[in-house]
Amino acid sequence: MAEAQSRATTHHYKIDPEFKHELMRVPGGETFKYCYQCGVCTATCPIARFTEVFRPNKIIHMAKLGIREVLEDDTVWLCVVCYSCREKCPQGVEVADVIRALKNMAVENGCVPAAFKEFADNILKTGLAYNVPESRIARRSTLGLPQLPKTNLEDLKKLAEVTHLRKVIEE
Amino acid sequence: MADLQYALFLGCMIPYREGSYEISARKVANLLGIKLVDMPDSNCCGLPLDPANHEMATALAARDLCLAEKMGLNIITLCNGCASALTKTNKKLKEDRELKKKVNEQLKAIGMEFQGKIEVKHIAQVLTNDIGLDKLKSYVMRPLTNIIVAPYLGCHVFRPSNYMDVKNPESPSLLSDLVAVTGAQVVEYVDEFQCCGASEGSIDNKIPLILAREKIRNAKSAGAQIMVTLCPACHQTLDGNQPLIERTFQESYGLPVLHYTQLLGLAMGLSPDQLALNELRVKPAKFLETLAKA
Repeated sequence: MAEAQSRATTHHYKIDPEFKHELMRVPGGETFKYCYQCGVCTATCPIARFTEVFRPNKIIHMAKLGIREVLEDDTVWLCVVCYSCREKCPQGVEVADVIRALKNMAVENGCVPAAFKEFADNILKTGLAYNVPESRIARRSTLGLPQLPKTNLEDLKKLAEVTHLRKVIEE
Repeated sequence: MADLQYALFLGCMIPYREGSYEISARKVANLLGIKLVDMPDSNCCGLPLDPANHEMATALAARDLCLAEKMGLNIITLCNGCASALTKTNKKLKEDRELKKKVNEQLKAIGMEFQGKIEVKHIAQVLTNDIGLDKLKSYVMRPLTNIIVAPYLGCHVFRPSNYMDVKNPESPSLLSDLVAVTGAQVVEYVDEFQCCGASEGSIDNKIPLILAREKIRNAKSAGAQIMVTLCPACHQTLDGNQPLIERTFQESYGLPVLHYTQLLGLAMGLSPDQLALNELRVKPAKFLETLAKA
């Protein structure tokens, strides 16, 4: 315990003053600059209630200070995007969008949780994020349901190219 | 009343695992005179990819919006996530010229252009605003007066409130009003407007289960006989995962979770079979017994 505490107090973060400018340029990241660390986002966050490692205000503070490690740390991926934080923020910080912007940056850096690779893969192969089993597709007609959409997959491939989706799939 | 014709955006989760929502929604819509036109070339709304690549998520939503524009119809969705992704993208593209220019530049690659001609509505909004609660009540043939319901609204149908346009976002009555129309009693419970824990992208397996467990336990201790949802992801979490939650926490709930369209369908006189109640993971046998006694 004492050892853990001393490690925590002696941990040195590298500060990168450019980081906040980078975040400002990512869609959704813009409003983080209005944060004055009142902590209401964390107080209202359902995830913060059940784990000590996730603190939205801490994530924003790290970003503001220029601690790039916020991207390497897995904690941003704990956000379930329920938007409770932005509803309560007295400063109008779009907290969930800022965290999304950080996730997008983490992906650019090569950190992609497996679920998103699968979503991207499924979307490009079927048009849908989940791979609906053949049996369920076949069952639709017996239930009197119309066929599932047949997406023009060439379209999706082109959109993936112009939005640089390969970062998600290739890493 | 406005022309009740919509482009039906099914999304991914419903055909994947929540067929009973689609079945019951189509049956109920048919009785209410809502015409649902399928979108044969649609794609995922983009929301699942948003955390990884916001630009692609936006482009996917924009493509669906363009398809509906071509059909000349407003979109109806059954899913909170799809409603949120499509509504937000639609509004952002209508309001932000720079963004519209950028996205249209991308859509050029597939010969489409966003024009901003349609609106996106969740089925709960269609029932509440386009049909109206009074009119909806006139379709109730069999009021469910002896049933106690805990509505679970979900998040994305009303948050972020600057986009979703739901009345009283601190304590929205969108779903409880719709449940009340069926004649059932509505109970309030602790944390009913908090996240159910549905999150495929979470890196933690346990926290989502804790969130779902809280809702189920709170609804149960408030006296609910069933829960009712508006979203396939919430339903998957509360109904589909209920046995897993029971195993994980060594508890037993047995609390059936119905899609709202199933509850409404029952009140409109449709049978449990017609509404695919047998497809629920937590079997609603006791609830159906209570219903039969009414």
